[in-house]
Amino acid sequence: MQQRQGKKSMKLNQKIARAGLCGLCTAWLVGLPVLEVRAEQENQAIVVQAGGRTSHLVAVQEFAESIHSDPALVGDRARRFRESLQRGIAYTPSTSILSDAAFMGPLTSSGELAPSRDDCPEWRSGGADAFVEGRMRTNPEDGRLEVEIAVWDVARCVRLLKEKYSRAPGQLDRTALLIADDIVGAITGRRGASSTEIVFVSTRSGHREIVLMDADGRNTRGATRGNSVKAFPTRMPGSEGILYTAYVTGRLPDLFVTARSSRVRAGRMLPGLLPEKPKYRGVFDPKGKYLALVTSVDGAAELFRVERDTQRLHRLTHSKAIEISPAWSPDGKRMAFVSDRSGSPQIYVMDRDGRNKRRLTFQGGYNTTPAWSPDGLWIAYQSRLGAQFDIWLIDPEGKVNFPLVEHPRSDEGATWSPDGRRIAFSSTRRGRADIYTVDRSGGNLKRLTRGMGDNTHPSWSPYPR
Amino acid sequence: MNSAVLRVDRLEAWGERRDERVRQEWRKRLIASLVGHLVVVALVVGLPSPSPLPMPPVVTVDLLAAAPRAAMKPAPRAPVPRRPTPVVAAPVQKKKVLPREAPKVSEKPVPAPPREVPPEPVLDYDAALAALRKEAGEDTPAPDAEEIVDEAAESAGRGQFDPELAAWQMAVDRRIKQTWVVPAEFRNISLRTLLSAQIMGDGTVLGSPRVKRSSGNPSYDDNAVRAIIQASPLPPPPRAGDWPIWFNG
Repeated sequence: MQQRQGKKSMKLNQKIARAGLCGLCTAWLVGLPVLEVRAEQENQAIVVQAGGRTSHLVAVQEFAESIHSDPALVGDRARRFRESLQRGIAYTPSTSILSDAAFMGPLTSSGELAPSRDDCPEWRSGGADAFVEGRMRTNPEDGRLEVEIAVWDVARCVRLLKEKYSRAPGQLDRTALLIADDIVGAITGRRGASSTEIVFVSTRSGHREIVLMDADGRNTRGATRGNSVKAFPTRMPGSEGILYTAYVTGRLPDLFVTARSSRVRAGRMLPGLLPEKPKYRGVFDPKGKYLALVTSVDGAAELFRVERDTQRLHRLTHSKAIEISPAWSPDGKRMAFVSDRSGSPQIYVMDRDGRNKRRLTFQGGYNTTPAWSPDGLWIAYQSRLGAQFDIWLIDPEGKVNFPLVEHPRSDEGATWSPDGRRIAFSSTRRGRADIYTVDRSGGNLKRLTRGMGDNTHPSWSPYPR
Repeated sequence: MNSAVLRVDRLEAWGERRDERVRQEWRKRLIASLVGHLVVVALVVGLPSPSPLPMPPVVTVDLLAAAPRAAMKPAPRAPVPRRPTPVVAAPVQKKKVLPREAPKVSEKPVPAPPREVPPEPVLDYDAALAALRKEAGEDTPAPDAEEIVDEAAESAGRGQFDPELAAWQMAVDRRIKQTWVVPAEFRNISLRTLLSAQIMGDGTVLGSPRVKRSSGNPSYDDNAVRAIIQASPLPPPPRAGDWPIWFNG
């Protein structure tokens, strides 16, 4: 009996002890964050407003050449490579180059890309936000240029990127620009666009031909040659070919492809499609699956969608008005276009199957040539005011609309860089039409072409696959 | 008889032991009750105020804050940054919202408004704010200013103006400005991020600051984190500890 009572008493005691312990734990658990919050409340928040720094300072070392490289063969290759790399990094508005005078470490990489480093404080004190080191060599077996790089965030002293590249010899500058875009991507979270190209129409040869140049205006070269009049060039997805419209005497306008790669067949585009109809313009969607086609039905230009593989046609517009200038949204689900169904050319938006058409622009009596930004947030277009055009931006919902580039002379044909940081357009502000670029803020105007005929209809190439 | 006495004695003894056990039990229950009450008291004392989210009070740091009140000009309504918008990037200048069906401009469009003036500082503590409003002839605060006051100081309660603290915060602002990179694509689109940095007594920032409220743009948040690390050591704070830091782009 006593034993039983004793056991009961012990159990009761244990229960009470457990309950007390749980209560204490709960109080601790509940009270801890409360106390933490209270502790934080004791300190008043500091508010920092943005200052004047708009770009990350990047220190770029000269890459170490392999000791097996023949000095007579490579010459000053590392120096030239560094210059191109710096040019490619500085091309992006949000990255700039730390001058050699501010270097707090060696100008040349050691050749050892160590997984950790202890000189970050020195780089920081020199003003660098990021640091690039690397090594390069010519592969003795296949002669290819091999480059290995490492990008460091000197604030946290962590490696942001370590990458190896192998490229055909003779592509030193191009390889450097490709790597520079990757470096920009590692530092800013968005790849640069210095290695991309712009295709445009030029009369420099006496005919309207398709011409290519690098994104900074260098290395201009012709892409077509002939007597036909060419217009509306666009780079095909993956940058594998250029699609354009050619007006050949005695024939209906048709779509053609010119290509440097064997992956794309050059010549007439979809030759069996609507042979009796004029094809005024074609634009591929971002994935290259569909072609937006402008052709003529009963005398009025209409928009069609063509499935590339099956050549199946889907009519997108059914009005007697003129419907032209298709521009795909970056996800390929929508399309901006121009219609004069309201009595004047205006920008409209519709789904890729032609549904949900709605007018976007209401200001200005002549708005054309829409171009959807790569992030999908803006549509650039040209708006006529008096006898000239300006470049405007409008959001796809039509709520915000403002001029980006204004000038008494005409600015036309806006096209976005694939990173969305710049816009190229043609302008007659110096008499003949030339290609210019501005940042998406509207500043940092640069002229890329210099005279030599009229240069119009720019189209920025997408990233190569 | 003897046996009866013995039985009674045993019963008595048992009764005493039982009483003792009962007393022990009551004592334990009393202790448990006390512990329980202590728990309740701890919870009541520890519970936060009924406001939704406790936020630290905000003092916008600028030279104006330290200027003598007499020297203060009537402050125009400051375009205080709003809550962060989940926008990756957007054009930043000359933003002009035009209504639909707006009448056509005859020749040139209305010239875009000039680049936005950098936000004027807003003094966030009561006395200075009231004085500013009085000098500016404002009866009611600007909505944006009201918002930031609400957001930051609502539940935390406002402290007295501390010149030493204000001076330090100004120095921190100046220091971080030198290391904070805000690319043009992030400007004037009202991105804001709140970080918490552990600052030692000598101004050294311990470890990596934590993002307490993201701007919605990882790159913007990351730039703010880097700015604090690069700015370390900061000017020595009035007291070591966790300091909330707002970054207004």
